[in-house]
Amino acid sequence: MRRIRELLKNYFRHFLFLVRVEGESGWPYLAPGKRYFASGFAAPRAGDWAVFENPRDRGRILIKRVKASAGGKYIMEGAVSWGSSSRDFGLVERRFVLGRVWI
Amino acid sequence: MDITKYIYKILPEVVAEAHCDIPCGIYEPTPAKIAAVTVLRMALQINELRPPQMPPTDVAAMKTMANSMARRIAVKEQHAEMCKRELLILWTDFFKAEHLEKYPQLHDIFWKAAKLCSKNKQEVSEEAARELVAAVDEIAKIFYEVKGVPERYEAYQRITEKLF
Repeated sequence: MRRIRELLKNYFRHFLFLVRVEGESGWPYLAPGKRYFASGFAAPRAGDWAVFENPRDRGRILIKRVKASAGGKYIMEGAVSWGSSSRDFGLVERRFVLGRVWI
Repeated sequence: MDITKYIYKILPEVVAEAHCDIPCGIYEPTPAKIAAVTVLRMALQINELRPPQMPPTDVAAMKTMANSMARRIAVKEQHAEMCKRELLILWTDFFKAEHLEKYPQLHDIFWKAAKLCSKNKQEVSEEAARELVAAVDEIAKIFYEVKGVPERYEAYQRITEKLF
């Protein structure tokens, strides 16, 4: 059973995964502690929420809204003015994006 | 078994940060400096106060002396407490764990500054008060560096040095 679960997890790793949100800068769109479905197959578009690696600190996973995208690069913004955005960490390349988040 | 629970169990999960990267409140070391400078001023004034001639025969002069002393002691006590509270707000709310990497001595600096607040309550000491002012300045310097505006430390100094 455990083996099957691991196989399923690997299979679904990019297709469908969960994102648990920590922190309240996405409020009221994202609730802290809540889990959301995300997919790596669906390229996020402007207005979508995306989960991605911070280009300045690859170990940190962030969740932000896509303000605009062009040429495989994304401009990310937070829901609140005091959250970080592409102004702080720059444009996010597609390879850093883990997936689009459904809220 | 609830199918939703099963889906949540089998799917891989990542944790995404949605922290407020910029502190939500307004933080500033100036109130701590004002309180520390007030403590210093009270210590200097208490040291200047002279008791009436002994043995005291003038009751009115004795009362005036006691009142002047009590008021300055009360203000020193209150402002040392205020200074400690303002420092604790910066320490626990503004500074984050990642700042310790750049300033590994941060906890020690705050701890000593808070101890100096207590010392200034216990004693009437110009030296202890000046140490407290210096400790607040040291914290302010780190604070502005962490905020990415080190030049504001000079503005802070210019303003708070004129308080006296």
